Amino acid sequence: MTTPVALSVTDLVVGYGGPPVVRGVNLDVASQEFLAILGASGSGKTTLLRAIAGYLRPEEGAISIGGVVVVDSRSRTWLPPEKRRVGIVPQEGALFPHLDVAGNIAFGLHDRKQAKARVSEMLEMVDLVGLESARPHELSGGQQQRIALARALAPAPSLLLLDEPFSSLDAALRADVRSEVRGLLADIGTATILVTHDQEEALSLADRVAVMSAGGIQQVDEPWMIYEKPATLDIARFVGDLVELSVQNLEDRTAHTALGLVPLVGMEDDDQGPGDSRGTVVLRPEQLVLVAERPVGGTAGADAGTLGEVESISYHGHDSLTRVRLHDGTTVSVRSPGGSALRIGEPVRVLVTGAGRLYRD
Amino acid sequence: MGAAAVAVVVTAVPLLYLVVRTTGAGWQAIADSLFRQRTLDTTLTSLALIALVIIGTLVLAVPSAWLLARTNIPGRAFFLVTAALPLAVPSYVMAYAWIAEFPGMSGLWAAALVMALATYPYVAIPLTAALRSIDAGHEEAARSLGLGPVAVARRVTIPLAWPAAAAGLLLAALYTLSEFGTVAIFRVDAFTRVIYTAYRASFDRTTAAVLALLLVILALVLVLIEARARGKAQRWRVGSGVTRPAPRHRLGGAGKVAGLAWLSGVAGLALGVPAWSLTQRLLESRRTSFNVDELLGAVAGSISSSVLGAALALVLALPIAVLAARYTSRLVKSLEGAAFLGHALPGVVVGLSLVFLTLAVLPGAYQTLLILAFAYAVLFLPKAIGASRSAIAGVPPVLESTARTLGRGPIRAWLTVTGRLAWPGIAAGTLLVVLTAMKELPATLMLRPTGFNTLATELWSRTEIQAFGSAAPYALAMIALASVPAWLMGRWLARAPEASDRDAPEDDEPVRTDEVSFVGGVR
Repeated sequence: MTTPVALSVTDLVVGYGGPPVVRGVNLDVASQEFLAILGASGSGKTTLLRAIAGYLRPEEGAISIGGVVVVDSRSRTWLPPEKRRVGIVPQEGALFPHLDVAGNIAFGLHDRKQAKARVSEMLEMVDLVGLESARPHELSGGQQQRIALARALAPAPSLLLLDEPFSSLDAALRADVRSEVRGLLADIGTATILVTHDQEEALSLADRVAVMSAGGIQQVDEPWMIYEKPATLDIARFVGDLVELSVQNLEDRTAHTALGLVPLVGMEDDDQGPGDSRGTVVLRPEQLVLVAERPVGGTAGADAGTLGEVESISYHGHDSLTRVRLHDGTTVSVRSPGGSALRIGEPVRVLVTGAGRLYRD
Repeated sequence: MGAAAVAVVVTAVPLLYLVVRTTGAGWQAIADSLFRQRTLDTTLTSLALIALVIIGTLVLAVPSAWLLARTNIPGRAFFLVTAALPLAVPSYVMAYAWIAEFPGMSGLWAAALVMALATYPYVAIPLTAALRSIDAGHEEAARSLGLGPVAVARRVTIPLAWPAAAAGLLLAALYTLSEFGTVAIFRVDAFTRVIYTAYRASFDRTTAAVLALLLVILALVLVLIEARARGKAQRWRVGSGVTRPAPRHRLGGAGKVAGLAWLSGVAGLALGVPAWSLTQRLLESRRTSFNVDELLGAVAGSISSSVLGAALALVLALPIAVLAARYTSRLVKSLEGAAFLGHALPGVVVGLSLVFLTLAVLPGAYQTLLILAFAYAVLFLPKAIGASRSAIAGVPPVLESTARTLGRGPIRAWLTVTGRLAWPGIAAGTLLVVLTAMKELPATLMLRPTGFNTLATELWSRTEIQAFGSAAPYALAMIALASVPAWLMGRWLARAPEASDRDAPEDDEPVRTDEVSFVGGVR
């Protein structure tokens, strides 16, 4: 391989004695890459992380970090966590409560003489100069998280693991800390794995996203690919809101659905013929547009789109999600910018813009 | 794991040897000892004593707890302290104080009175906390569902508070069953006294062994019921939200007078009478001969034996505590459970079996300081484990694993993070053992080296010959010495690991659960 690899996981199986929780994972992370592992709770993502850190001994498979094999079930290689050169930022930071900030950052440094210089360097990096002698409980949640990051990065690890580090922060702070951390990691270029259940976080931060469920990695791709071209219907459902339409009939890259004719994309490699028509067409809510139905007068375009009735509206400020019940009983979600002038029960027309993706049953 | 198993086995040795020794006497001899009038009488006496103590404890504790938790009676903080304080006075010191004031006292009723006064905090303190912590919402909801105040008490308050009281009652019962000094002072032929007497009359040691086993079985039953009751009490704690305490009843003038009279009366019986009696005896003792060297010798004996015992208990407890705090495998659970059963070993039983064991196996160790310390370690191992275990469990494991990724090996990571954060709790647990071992009487009497005295044994031998005046300085020294570790421990726990004080709940009341469990732990 020409590009240096920060992490390489091969056929990894990890469990706690019972049925394995991680089942045959293969994963490579390039140096300087930021990879997010996205999965619901119970998907095995945290177990995978703990195996990489060396907290858990895998049943099978191999892991190498920065070119060094740290565990291999066949050659019985095993490096304990302290020899792996991995930095970890646990949930809620987990700063040592009995040490001050400087003590925390210097915890992993062996050379005491250089420790002081390194601590100030790290504090400068996370923009918390002057807090050397503060105690962890005196810091805000965001500050604690940044100190935990400084502590993990101080020994210059070859791989950084972030275990849902932002989930304990409140929403307003989360976005700031996230982008700060991302900018900082981009500067120093340490290969990083972020474990999260928050799809927005994964998509906005990572160079690549690995979607994990049922102990396996289902898809590894760039964020826009994960969102726009999910490999399976399950991934599509997990990553963002979804409009699902069952296919009535298929012809020439077009599907007949409850919303009328929907053009299909991503079928180049698939069979293109009508063939078996059972399947689901999916769209994102922002691909639908609402047009008010005008019962009196009939203006131009009144016939366009499919007639339905507003069932519920959830308003998010920057946009709103309207659920519309179509005449055949299907409900679809429509995302529109800003608020909505519609009322519940009001008739409305739904237009499709762009193309859907077909998942055959 | 290996170290923990060794610790458990070592602890179990005295009991196992007692079983071996008893069965070794032959089934005929066992049957002879078991099926006779005296055994039945002893059992009935012990059970009657337990029943009386339970009733007495309830009578003393329930009104006090209600007054402290649910009314606006003045001086609540003061009376909360007086309700906990009897725990700091060894019950036989209390018995000594009573009999020194009223030399005619003896028998079942006298013992039951003193034991109830000594053990009512076991119910009063947790019950006060429980009554305080029951969410006002439950009782309000019941009222709006159409229940009157009495029906609310019967169908809501009592069922919710009962588990706390039940656990305390069982502790009191267990304590009564194992207590030797009080029972002996009032000449009640309960198990402990009969066993001790049979052991002293050395021709009858099989009877002593058989009765000791019977006592262990009874104690075991109580311990198992207690463990179940405690489990239930924990399961009943629902929800993690902050509960709103029930509003306090506004007592009228007459109510306040009656309430104050009750609380002062209970405190007067439990603390005032012993304090008065002790002061009187001290004044008397100044007139009689008083040997300072003897007192200092006894103090030195108490300290050396209990510190050695606590150190030994810590060595045995740590491996089990480390395992129990971090792992929940079945093997670990059963190791911990086996150590927990140590609660069911009365001092008289451990003393007896170690006498047998040393005489049979290690005659050189018979009546040495080391064997006495070992007896303390066996007796108080569950305490040492409990305290260390919760201290270690209070340190989030993520700290230790993070330390590992930062380049520290497993032992260094444990020492610099988990051990470092848990040590106040571990030290407090060890001090608790020191404190408890100082009060131990029957095993000390049986195992101490010849000429070796502790405060407890000196107090005992002087009370036995009715030299109440010359016993007083020892009783006082005992209370003073026992309160030093208690005071230290209170300070320690007050500035406990920084890790936990972040989550410590704010409370409008001095009844904090950590204080309660701390007080409940002092026996």
